Amino acid sequence: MKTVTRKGNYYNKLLVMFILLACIPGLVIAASLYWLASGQIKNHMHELHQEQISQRAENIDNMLSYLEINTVHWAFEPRFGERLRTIDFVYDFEQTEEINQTLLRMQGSHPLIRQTRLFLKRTQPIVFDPEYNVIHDDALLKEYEALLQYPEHLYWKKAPLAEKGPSSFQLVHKIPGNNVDEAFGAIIIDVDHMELENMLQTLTPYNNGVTMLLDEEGRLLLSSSYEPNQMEILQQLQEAMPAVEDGSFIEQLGDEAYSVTYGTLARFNDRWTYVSASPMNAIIAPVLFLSRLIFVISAAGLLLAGLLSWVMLKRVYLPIQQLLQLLRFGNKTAGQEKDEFKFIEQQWQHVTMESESLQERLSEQRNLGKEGFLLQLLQGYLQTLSNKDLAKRMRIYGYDPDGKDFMVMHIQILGVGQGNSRFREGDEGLASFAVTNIIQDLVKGSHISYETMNLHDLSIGVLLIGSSLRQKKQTIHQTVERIIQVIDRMFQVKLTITLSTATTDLKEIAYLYEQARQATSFRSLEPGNQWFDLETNDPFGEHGKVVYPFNREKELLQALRMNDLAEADKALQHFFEQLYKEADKEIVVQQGAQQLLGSLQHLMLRSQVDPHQLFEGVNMFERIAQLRDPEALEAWFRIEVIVPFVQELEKRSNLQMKQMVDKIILHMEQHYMEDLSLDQFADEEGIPAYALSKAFKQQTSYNFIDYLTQIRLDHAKHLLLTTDLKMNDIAERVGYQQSYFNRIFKKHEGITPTQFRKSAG
Amino acid sequence: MGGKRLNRLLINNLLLFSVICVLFSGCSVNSAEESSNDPPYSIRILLPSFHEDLPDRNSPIIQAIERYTNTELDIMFAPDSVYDDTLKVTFASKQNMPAVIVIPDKTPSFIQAAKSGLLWEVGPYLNQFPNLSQADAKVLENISIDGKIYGVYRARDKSRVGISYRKDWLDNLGLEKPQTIEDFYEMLHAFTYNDPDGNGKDDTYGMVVSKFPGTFDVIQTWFGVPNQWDEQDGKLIPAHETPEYKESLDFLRKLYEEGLINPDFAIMNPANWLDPIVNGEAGVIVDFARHAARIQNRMGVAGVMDVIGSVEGPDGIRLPSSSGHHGMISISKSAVPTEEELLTVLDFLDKLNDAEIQNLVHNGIEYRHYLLVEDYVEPLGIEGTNQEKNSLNQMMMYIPHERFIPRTPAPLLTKADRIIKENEKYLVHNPAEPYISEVYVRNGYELDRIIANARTAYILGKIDEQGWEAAMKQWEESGGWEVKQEINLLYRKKRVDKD
Repeated sequence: MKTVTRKGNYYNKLLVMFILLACIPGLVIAASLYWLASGQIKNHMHELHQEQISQRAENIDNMLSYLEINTVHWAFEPRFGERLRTIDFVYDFEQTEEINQTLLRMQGSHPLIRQTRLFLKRTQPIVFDPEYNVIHDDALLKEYEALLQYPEHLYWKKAPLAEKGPSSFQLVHKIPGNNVDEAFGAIIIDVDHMELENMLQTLTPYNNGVTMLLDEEGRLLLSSSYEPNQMEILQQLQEAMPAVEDGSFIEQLGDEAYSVTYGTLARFNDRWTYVSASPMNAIIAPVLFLSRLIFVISAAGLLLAGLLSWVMLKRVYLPIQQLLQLLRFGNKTAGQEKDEFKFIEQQWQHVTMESESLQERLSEQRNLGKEGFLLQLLQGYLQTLSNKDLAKRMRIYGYDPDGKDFMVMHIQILGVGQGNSRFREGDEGLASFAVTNIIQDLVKGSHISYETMNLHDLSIGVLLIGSSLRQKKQTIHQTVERIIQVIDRMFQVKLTITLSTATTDLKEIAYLYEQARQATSFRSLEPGNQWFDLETNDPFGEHGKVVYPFNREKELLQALRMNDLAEADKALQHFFEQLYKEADKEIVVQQGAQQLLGSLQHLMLRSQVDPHQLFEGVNMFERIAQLRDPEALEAWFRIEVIVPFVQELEKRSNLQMKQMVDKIILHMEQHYMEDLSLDQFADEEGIPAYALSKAFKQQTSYNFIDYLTQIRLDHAKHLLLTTDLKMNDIAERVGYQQSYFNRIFKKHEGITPTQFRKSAG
Repeated sequence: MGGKRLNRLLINNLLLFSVICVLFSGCSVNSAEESSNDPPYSIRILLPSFHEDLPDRNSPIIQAIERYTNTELDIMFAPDSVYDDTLKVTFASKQNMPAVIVIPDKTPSFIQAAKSGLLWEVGPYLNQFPNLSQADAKVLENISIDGKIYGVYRARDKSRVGISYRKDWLDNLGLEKPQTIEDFYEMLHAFTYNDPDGNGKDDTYGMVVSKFPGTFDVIQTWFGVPNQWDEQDGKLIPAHETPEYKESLDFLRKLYEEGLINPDFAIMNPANWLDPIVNGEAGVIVDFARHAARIQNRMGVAGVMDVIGSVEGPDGIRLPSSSGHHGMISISKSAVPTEEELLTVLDFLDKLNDAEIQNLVHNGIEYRHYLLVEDYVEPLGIEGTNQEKNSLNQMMMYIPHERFIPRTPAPLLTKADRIIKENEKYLVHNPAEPYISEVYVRNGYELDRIIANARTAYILGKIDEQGWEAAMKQWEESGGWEVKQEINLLYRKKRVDKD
């Protein structure tokens, strides 16, 4: 379909409906997912995030606790005991080495430890860092000594956050480990602030998040970042912090919402507070992504659904479109502006009306067609069709041939223009019509389906259709008798009615009709109405003696051969007298007449007369069949056959004979030496020898044989005079035997041939 | 709707669907990488690191090396402090080893790995390569394990030591630079007691010694002490069992007793080793020859320091030779399964010794890391570019010798370098270097400590000769005897093989 046909309202409605239907599930899913994502999941994610932060904070707390416990453990080791007050480190260099190694091991034992140092306050103050060093610098010494001034035995020492960069964290444990004796030194654990920062950073798992560590006084100890803008955020957060130990809240900072989680890290001498702020966007990023994904998928789904419904609609709409196409009757633009189904309805009504009017016209036409069909059926023109096809055609004309019997009735009207008949000569058409009508009325009264056919030759065919017609024979017979009675009374014409046997075979109908028609010929020649039922009375069955007056025929033909019209007329009269006398049925007369015509035509052909030409194309046999009255038949023969023939023969015979004799003479002149005879020529020319002889005599005034003899003798004489041929040879050359030649020569010339030659010589 | 139609519908829709899918998924086109004639060979390298900031793939130096050697390098650094553990883990993982592994030391784990066939024996292949074929045979022997060479050694000067001293003090005191051990003792004594700085205070001493054992090792060698093992009558005997050892020990004890060295030498932090000289307390240090230049640099005064290689002892000038290597670079069989690939990796190692690569790793890229001033390198020290070559020198072998462009030389450094060259004439080798004693591999640290502690204790006067004898006996009982047996067994075997 190349042409773009615009679709109507119905298509548009369908399209909208399909798309809606296809898209609703997708929309519902998308909407509910979005609701889930933005509401439920978001909250859930937030909770998860907080939980995660708390867990990580706990982890940091554990790490720090572990460090503290380890430090305590080390501080109580005997190596760091009282001995260190007095030991000579040089002299006991092995022990110095051991302290060095121990501090190194401690340094490697915990990821948070950057350096372990051992400060010993002695006359010569010493620090292991972890190598042995003597402290010479007073300022440095003061710093170390300050560590011993702290009231706690184990404590966190931290310097507040410097301008830029982290504060320093130190875990200090005084030695000896027990709290009883005066401290003479300290184990100093320098916390790797980078590591601590990294750990702190785990509290802000997202970019853009910030984490900070505050001491008890709320001073900033450590931050995950020292960028100015993030420091600002931290400051704002610090102000927004509630005074509870731990918890979480959402804080709008600038144009971003932050999820803030905070809690306490309890240390020996301090309480640290961690604050973790993560942008909500980052926390719910996966959900955002998911909901965006869902959105995109839904959009894609919508698109797909749209496409699919378009495709589907095209499929569904196809039959409608085809229907529309059909109803537009080639007018491609008709009804485009309308709703398809309104258009279809309108067109349907239109078509229905048209159909009704056509139906009317058709039923008119059908009667005519029916009549034609029946005629064809009865006369056997439809013999080539199968029973099935015949039945089909019968149904077309309103019959139901299934399981039905068929019977044919042939009605011959006689006596039109005779006696006191109501119809005159030439009223045959009227007679047939009138009788047909009467018959129709009468048969109708018998409650049998029937069909009459006026055959316009004073005969009428009636086809009876009904189930088990044989059982209704009585009704049919009564009807036939009524027909005869009524017609006779009304028109004073005689009817011969033949009823055929019944059949169920459609093809047999034509045969039945022909039989009935022929059977009509078997009517008795007595004037008056007659009817037979071929079932009970088979006229073909009676083989009477052959009635044909052969002698009379011979006489007639003889007379015609002789061109003797008077004799022929007499012979014809005798022929028919004898035929009527002997024949008891019309068919016999008909047959006799036909046979006679055949014989006459044979004679005509033999006489070189073309019957077709002679009768000017008229089928004489048909004419005979139409002539039912004996007198008319005889008269017709005389006027139409005998007289024209005799006249033609006479007209032709003179000319023909002359030509024929001339031809024969020419032949004789050329072939005199051969054996020639009149019979031979008559045979060749196809005429009786006597006729030829007579014609020869007429033309030449010689008899044939004399003429021939004369030719031969002339030639012989010539040979005798001009050649030296022997008698024998000459006789042979002119077609005689020598003895016969001598004799005949002498008979005609009076002398023998030898004498003739001598006399001439 | 007939089956056929349904099918067609289905097919139509499938087509439609697939078109949509393609539209949504987009096209993923793999752009083929440009390839040279040979695709670069991928090599994973394990290096010890001495820095916190380490170069990554974006380092222009690594990229330059990759271009030069047609390789793709995946360099993994492990901090030096944990490198030995890293190696243990690496050798244990067997199937996932890097192709190239730097072995700083003949550690037991390395020896185990080499012996169990995890590493290629590269010895037979070395002479196929222009640089590696020039490797020092003695050093190759030193790194060998049971006579087999499992890597390309990282060359080090066999002796970098020298005697750095305060030239101005010497001049002040009117002394000549020392020629013999006696001269050396004179110098220390004068520096301690003759007020070399002329401030009238007794605030100076002769020589600063740290707890690092190197100084005493060198001085002991002057006295004829062998380099760890001595060859005597076809036998190897440990250095501490020689009479020269005892003799040198007494000399050192005298130095301590007379206060010519710092009293806390036994525990002195080597990180502060130079401080006493810089601070004007001590006048001599026996360690790297280059210290002289460093000290003078820190003092900020020209002409105060000088350096000599060694002083003459009873057997002439003698210096202990180091093994001449700082470990080696090995190639694992798991990452380099075929001989063909082995040759490719060796080719890469060979190229690392080319002057271009040596200069690249040592100095960096011109205009980025250094400038050339009169054919000498002047480092730029631009922040952010330094880490691009950090620790990469750990994979350098410097075979046959250093080829990078030197820095603008200071006179003292030049002199130190000249001395290092001259030292080679006087080197005393360790004849047991190639031999590996199982017991020593296991207990070496403890055994060495016994002798080292005894030496210190004897110098400090903590023990007398009997104590020294006892320590030697303890050494033998702690496994020293077995070490001697094992070393001598290997030594004899080698000699039999040779003959």
